[in-house]
Amino acid sequence: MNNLICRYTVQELLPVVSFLSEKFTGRESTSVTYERANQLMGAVIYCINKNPDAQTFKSAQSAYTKGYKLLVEKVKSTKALFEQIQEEFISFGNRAYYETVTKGMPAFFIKYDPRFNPLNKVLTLDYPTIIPVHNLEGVDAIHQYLLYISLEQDFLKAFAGSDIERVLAGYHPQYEDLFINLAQIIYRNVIGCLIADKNILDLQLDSGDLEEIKKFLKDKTKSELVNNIHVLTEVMVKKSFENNRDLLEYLWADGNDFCAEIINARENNCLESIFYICNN
Amino acid sequence: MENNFLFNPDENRNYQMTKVLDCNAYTKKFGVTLSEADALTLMESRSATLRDQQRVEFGEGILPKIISAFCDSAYIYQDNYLDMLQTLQDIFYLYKNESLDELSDDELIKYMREEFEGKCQGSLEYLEDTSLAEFARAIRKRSHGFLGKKEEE
Repeated sequence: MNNLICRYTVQELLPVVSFLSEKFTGRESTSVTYERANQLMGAVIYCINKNPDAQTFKSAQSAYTKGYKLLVEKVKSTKALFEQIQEEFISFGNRAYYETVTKGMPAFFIKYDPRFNPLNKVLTLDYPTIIPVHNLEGVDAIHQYLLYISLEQDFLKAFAGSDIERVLAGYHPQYEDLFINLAQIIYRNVIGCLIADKNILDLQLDSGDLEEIKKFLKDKTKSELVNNIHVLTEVMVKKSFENNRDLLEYLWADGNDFCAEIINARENNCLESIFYICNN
Repeated sequence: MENNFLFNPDENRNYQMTKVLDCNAYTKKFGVTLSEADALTLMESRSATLRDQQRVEFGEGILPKIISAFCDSAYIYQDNYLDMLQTLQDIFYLYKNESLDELSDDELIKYMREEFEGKCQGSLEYLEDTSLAEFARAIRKRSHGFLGKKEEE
């Protein structure tokens, strides 16, 4: 709420808050608590800010009314996006992934209150996406989160489920119970496959491949590595994912951390903690 | 939405004072009236109470309702009228909070009036510390406002 900025003055916003307060109390109470007034003021500003052309409206009330309509539309489009994801959603056995998407999202659409509390995300979004959505509020956060989940699903579904589960089990035997991002782990192994010149769809690396990776990484500075891995990611997205730029941007959000971890692993001679070796 | 002038603090105060003074027409038959100075005192007291209780009030305020509910009380007369209204106003906002806003204004005023005339026999201390305290406890006990509690049930 404190981060919300609005072009209208408090004086102009108060009548809208009063209108909303009347609706909230059903005209049965002339006063509300500070917390409630703060929440309602947040709701008004959030809706007004939904308007790309809020400054063209004569009053804060008309900007709010239009913004509220846009907010309801966004909830509808977010629900449609969720239903589309839900149809073929695969959690690969990870409980946080399953519960956040399959159980949490329907609860969001039941409990979300666009009129009086639109800033509330309702969900804790336990499954972490590569790019966090903590800086967003309400349905904006959920919509962005679902867009990321959709990108992840597109990415993960390119591989066989059994291969993904094998790599995840290599990451941690109890990967099902961890709050980890699955796409990030698979992406890192795909990069390993590309460096070792293996078929990325197999997600198979052996100890010989690890030697290849070590050779590739030898004497590379972090900036060189960042450039190389970015090129490899671009190649992967171009060849296997119809040059989906959103996917590239999403996966590459992990790029700098990934390179730092590789350099650390190289120095400590433990690259197998990033690129999982298949023992069969 | 037409009453945008209500959001100008000075105009809002004048508007509320007028509403309070308008009540004199009805209350004078019970032998109680407020002067302009009294109304101003009540407005100042209202602002302080709202601040203390951390509440925001819109519209004409609660005083006209309190006045119309209590003006015919057997325990209220001209000499204690202003003090009584000030305290009743304080008690009202306190118990709006204490009852977690589960009560409407009318319900709370009705209960206050019944207890004030009955069990309390005109004692505002008894009304505040005993009757309303018990009432608010009972409301909090069955309140569904806290999600966890609702799910437990």
